[in-house]
Amino acid sequence: MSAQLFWLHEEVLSEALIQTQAAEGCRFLFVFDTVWLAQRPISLKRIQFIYETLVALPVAIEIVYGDATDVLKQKGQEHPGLVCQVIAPKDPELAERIDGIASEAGVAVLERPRWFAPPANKIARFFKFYNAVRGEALDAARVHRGDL
Amino acid sequence: MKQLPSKFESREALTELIAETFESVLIEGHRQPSPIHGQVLSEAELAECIQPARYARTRNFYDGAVSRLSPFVRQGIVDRKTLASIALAGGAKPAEKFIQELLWGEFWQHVAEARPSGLWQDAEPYKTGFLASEYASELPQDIASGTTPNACLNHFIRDLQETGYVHNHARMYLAAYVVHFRRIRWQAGAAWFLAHLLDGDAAANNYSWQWVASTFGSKPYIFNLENVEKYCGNQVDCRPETNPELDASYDVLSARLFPARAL
Repeated sequence: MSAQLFWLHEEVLSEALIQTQAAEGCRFLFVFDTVWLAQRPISLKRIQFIYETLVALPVAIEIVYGDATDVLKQKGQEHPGLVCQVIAPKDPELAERIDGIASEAGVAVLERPRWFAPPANKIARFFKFYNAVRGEALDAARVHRGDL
Repeated sequence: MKQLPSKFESREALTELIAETFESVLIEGHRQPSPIHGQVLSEAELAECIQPARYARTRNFYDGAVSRLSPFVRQGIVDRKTLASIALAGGAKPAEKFIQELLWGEFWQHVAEARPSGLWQDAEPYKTGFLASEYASELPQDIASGTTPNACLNHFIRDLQETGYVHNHARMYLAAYVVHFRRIRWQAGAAWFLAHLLDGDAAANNYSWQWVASTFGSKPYIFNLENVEKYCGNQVDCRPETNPELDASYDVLSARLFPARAL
């Protein structure tokens, strides 16, 4: 089922993603989540960089400051049956926060797109990792038209 | 819960709104925006930033041809695969080093997914001759305010706090200074960087701090003034008299910083 509301977070401000979703009639929400910001305090510079990007994107995005759990739950209460989706972030701690909100507010978490499949084994040294993924990474980049 | 506007008369108006609305969650001080603007970049603009051959030759220099696109990658405005694809358009050989550096970001992600506890906990013991308990947990005021005894480091701290962007080599110098010259736990420095860096990504940032600290690597990373002079000397004050803590050979510094390890 396609989303009616797409919840954007700080790792997915991609114009291509947004245009794809907008073409399907999706609306967009970004929450400056006070709980996350309290856990991972940041400077005004970082907030402003994110905010400037949000307002530069070519679709309307509802921007809210507050506890993201409350915001998403309220959306669900206002629009029963609302299909809301979010892309899983890379940051493990942000992922944990988003998983928690998603389960409370009934948001579907989508797998994030990856450049290449990560190695099955845990690799703790870079050049071992590099040798394991280099070929697939280059092949994927060669055929990639870009998210533009 | 507060709805925020999406149109502003000026950049200053946005800054003012953020300072007021986010007051309770912002870190103390530092209420200025970065000179780097958040924006959507076209393929042509991205391509202009990527010069793989020059990058391979000069990336370690403070004024080297680095793309400075990391803040845009961090927010997902562009992904690493797209940057690799643009770099490859000029040929595989010149793009190799640039792509290798992109893959460092993927590597740190891989490590953080496998060991999320390492984002804030020592992955391994320090290999410095000191126990973790012998490191202070707070960042000293002179570091936080960019008034250390060393002019070059103060320059890099201003980069961090005023622009939110620091050259990678300078990040390593700052991390080594905090952890080894001042014996502060890497976690304090990692949190400081994350608060300010526009590209602040916990996986790459925190595991890189661990690598410098030696809690995710086989030995501590250190540097001396000669090294800073070599890579940053044409841009940054590297005079011995204004950088007294750094002006020594590696042997002398190692003996000074890691006396127990040298035994």
